Amino acid sequence: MSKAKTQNGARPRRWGMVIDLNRCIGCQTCSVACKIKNNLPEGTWWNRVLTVEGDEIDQVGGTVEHPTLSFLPMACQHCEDPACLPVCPTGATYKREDGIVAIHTEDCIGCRSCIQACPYGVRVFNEKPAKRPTDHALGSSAVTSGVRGTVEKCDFCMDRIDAGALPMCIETCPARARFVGDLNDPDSEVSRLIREQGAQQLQPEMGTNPSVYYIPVQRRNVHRTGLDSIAVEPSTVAVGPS
Amino acid sequence: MAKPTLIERERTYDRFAPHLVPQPHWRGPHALWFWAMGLGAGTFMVRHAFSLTDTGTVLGLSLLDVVGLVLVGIGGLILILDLGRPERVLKALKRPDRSWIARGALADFVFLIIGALYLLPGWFGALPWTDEPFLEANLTAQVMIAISFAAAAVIIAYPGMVLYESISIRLWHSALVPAQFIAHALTSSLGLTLFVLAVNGRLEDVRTELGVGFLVGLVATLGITHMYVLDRAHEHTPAARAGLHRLLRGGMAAHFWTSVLIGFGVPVVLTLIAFAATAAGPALLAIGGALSVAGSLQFRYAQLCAGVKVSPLG
Repeated sequence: MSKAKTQNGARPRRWGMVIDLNRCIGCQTCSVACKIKNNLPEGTWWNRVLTVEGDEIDQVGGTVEHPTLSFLPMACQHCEDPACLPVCPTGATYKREDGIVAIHTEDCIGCRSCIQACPYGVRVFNEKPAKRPTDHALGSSAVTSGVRGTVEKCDFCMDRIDAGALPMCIETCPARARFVGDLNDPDSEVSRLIREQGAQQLQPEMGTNPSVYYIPVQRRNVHRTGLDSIAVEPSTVAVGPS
Repeated sequence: MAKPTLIERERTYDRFAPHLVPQPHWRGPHALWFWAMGLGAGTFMVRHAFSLTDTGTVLGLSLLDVVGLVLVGIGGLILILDLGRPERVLKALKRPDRSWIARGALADFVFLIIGALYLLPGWFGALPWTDEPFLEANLTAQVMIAISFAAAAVIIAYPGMVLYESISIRLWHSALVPAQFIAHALTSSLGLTLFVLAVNGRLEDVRTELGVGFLVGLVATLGITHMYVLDRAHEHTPAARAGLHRLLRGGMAAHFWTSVLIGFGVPVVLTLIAFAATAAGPALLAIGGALSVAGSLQFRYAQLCAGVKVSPLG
């Protein structure tokens, strides 16, 4: 996993992730693995798995006869044009050549403008001193987390990626729902999945071009009273709540 | 092949988009910061734009300059204390090439440093620069006033740019927000100037020009605010709709409409009456000015707290 170029030497590597929502079982293993690996304090999650079927967060949807349940793993989307980057007054938020968006914690002043700019709400502000469940550090010593008054988020396990390993959430996913690779390489597994499975980005209208794609849940066998028989043209489907 | 049903066409982000939460990070202290800095810098600009020389003095200095400097200082102090790491504040000066917070912080420092140089002789008597640089006819003083004026212009505009750049909070992501901040700052500064001069009994000579300026400012600010509301109403994203609803009819509606009433409606009426009623004119302008200052703070608070973002994680 070299950082500089793709195999054909044409464009620099850009790390991306594809998450297959058909495979995700909502077990939160990725969340816990991330928390342990990055030594995150209590109450802090860089990766979470949301239940997204209901009208409110973390609810099932559908009807009594036809309940539906699906999950949405959420972490930093490592956008190609991150909204958090230009608003940072100190340069603490930076983007690496390989597309990973990370934070120099020692430069963060805690102004929270990056939190306000991020369309995905994945940045965490450490308002209080870190409280950890163990009296010793867990996980990687290369990661700084829980520094009071600073903002932090998923860094794509860049220490592991640089060492040639997979991000922890991918390594531990029991459903094999996550894939990582070079988005600039058309032959990579992630590029193929995006191309063949119709993977989607979250909130593409924000113009940030996220590097995380989701393979949507196939709903051919899903029924929801009142919606089952409504046939619509794709262009008439509104974004957001109806 | 049968057309896909609505549920089959549903995209991942359709499930994501409905989760809207009010932004929890920038509320009262930020409103106070935006207001105090805009008012302070605006008062300095008004004093020099209208060439107001007889404004009363403190420590031998123009009262309005001192009021402006103190307000910017208070705003800067709130800004620093509201940071997660206040001791690192100087790092905020590092990226003026790309961040409006950095540009604003730089302008604050420039304004406050020149202001402090200006004030010190009043406190400590003869200093090397007591007479020379700050005699207003002096070229050095003119240059420093010009630099301070430019810094003040950045100070009144940058909070609006900071809000505009917060693209996830669609209520703020309008090009009219920076214009609104500038208009609010200048109008409430005219209001404060009217109040200070009226209280000091120094309004009479400049009453008409300041009063007309104040009236024009009120109408312009109200017009920009109206256009801003229309602009947000035309953005059909869930976050923009929810934010606008929160501002106009939801949790922040009382603050918003009160700010419109006391910040614009009443001052406009009082200013119009003041032009007719000669004897009570200064008092009416002073009240109108003070109300516009209060309304400006309340408006900023309402606008900040009405910000809603699409985010299941808060």
